[in-house]
Amino acid sequence: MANGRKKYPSPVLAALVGVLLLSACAPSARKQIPNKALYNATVVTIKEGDTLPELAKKYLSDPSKSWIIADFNNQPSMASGQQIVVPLIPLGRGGLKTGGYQTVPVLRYKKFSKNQADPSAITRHTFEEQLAFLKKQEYHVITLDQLLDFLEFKDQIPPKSVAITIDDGWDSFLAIAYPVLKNYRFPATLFVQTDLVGKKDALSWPEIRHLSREGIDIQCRSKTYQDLKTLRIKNTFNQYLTALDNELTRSQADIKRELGKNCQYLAYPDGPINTLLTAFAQKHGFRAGFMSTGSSNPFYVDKYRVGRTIVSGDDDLEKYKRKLAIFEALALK
Amino acid sequence: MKLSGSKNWLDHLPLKAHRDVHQPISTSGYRFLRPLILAALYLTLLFYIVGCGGMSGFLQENSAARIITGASEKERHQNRLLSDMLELRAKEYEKSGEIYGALLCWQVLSILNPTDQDYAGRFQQLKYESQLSANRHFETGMAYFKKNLFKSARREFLIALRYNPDHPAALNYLKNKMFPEISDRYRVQKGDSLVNIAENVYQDPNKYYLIAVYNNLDVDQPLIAGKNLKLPVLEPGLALPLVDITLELKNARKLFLSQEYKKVLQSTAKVLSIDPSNGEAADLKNAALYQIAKIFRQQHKYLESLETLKKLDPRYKGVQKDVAAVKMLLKKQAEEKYRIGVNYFVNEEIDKAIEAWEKTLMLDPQHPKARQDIEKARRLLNKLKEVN
Repeated sequence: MANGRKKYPSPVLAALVGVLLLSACAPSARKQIPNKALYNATVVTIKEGDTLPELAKKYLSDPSKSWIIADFNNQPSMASGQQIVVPLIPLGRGGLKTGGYQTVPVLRYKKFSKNQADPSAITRHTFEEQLAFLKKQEYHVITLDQLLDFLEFKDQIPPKSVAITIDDGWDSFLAIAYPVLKNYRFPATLFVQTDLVGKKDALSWPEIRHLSREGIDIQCRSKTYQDLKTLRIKNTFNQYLTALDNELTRSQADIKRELGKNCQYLAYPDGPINTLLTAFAQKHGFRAGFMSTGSSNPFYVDKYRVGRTIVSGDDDLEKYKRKLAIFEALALK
Repeated sequence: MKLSGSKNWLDHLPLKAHRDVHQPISTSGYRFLRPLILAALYLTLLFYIVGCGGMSGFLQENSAARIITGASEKERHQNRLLSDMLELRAKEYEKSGEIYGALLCWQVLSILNPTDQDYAGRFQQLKYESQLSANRHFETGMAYFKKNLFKSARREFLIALRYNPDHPAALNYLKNKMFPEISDRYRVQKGDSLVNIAENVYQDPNKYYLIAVYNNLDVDQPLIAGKNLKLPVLEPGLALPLVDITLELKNARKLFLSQEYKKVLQSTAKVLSIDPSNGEAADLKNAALYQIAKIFRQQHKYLESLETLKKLDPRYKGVQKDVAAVKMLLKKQAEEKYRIGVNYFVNEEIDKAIEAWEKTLMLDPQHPKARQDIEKARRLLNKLKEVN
């Protein structure tokens, strides 16, 4: 420090620069191109054996986004030597067009039965028929993460998107619905009401862990089976608050303990939703709250009041089709 | 109109960017090393900002340029095919109003065909026009929003976002301003308590517990000035003090013992409005109604008594017997009124006679003579009027 200037050992600086350069060039630094990216697309020449999911995995970090490449290039398949463009930014957030905007039905199922249909139980045949319809009509069954990226205007989803949710955790899901879902490779979310686990006709924790390992998204559906109206009228205001808080924290804690995962999504118990409930869902860190009823959701829906379309055991295929509302017509020009 | 202020990818047209990012790094001695280190640090920073994607994009651009200059006839052919497809897609996207899709097509076309200025021109023009339209629709949306015309405002914000999906204000209004706020922030002032905050914010000191639960606070611990609290915003129905059923029933019992029966009805009505199946509230309500009917009867207000008895649950103990007894009393009262009417009639005071018989019918709608006599009296009155 004699001349007031600090001398840095050159090898240390060189090493520091080297490390910084290497880390800057690390591949993970650019898996997805954010909106501010300088480059928004890449031109790719198709090689022998290339598939759209592989290209989507390579350039968009997600094989399920192959539809983006197919859609942009207006071709469902590619030939070797052909040049295509891979968009690296989301182009259709919100699904906005001059004639209206995209909506996403979040289907809500509860119980399933082998043969006998009633309003709350779907037969295996009916469920299979519904999923076959989705497949044949090229609907994309999306995850709740994808749905939330759409609702938060972060990412685009396929124009014909639908999400599948199942409430409570009855054992008929594992026995009847899950094999059908697996057959079609459709993602689904099971909202578990944790006090029900292990009871008669309900799933056990080992079964839920098995489903989770198999790719079923396990999320919270409160702790007890009290509907919100009962919860409110049977208690004093302070008891109501405590009960509300408990419903959310305890079910979150149960799932964390049993599955080691943090629940991001909450399916509210039956009954009317109020701002207090949505506030508690936000307080406990849920990314979104799903109502027991409702209709298809545009991106601008309040994400703590995401509507769900009830699929009833009485629905025939025609009625089911009408429930799959994927576009809201409105002149947007 | 602010056109270039938004931080979106439209502002980063990179057609010729970063061609010189590769700088040779010399390591021949510290004296010469320092400026190089600084340059390297600068480059590193640049790499962090743009990511290596900038570099891969650059390489892609060069590879596209190589296609144009013509490494092979096959590549030129592929490039032409790709350009044709992109031009078609650009027009399709424009037609369906998907501006970002169209912009990307024109942008890629301008990179693939650097000598064709039409593509770059179309890109710039569309970018300019869409931003202009987005801003215009946002302003229109704001005008509607200020007039509380939310449906119209939403449509305008949606159009703004269709033109420019990176319009932050339009997105903010659509996602955050069209719904009730979930919670407000509150900074604790010196001397604040949960109760006085609850009283000021919710006009209900009992909501102190809500603040405590929502913020994980111990109700017995004093608040620390400067602490930030989150206060859930309650919708109108919830902001009103919610009926504490236990307390309200206690109050209703107390009122019943002090014979304030009308107040018992008010109190039980509150409970039954939120819990219609509450048995104790229903019992107290019936008991209060029974007592009110009894008081009317003692005051010879038999009609009021009967009306009150009719509001009672018909299965309530003794109510049918009381209804029968009051009906008998009403008949008796009706008969007295009838006789008064007859006296008026005999004394040729026909108007008064009709009035008395009408009262008779009010007390006993099934009276055997009153209705007939009223008709006769009215006919007589009409004849008298004709004679006069």
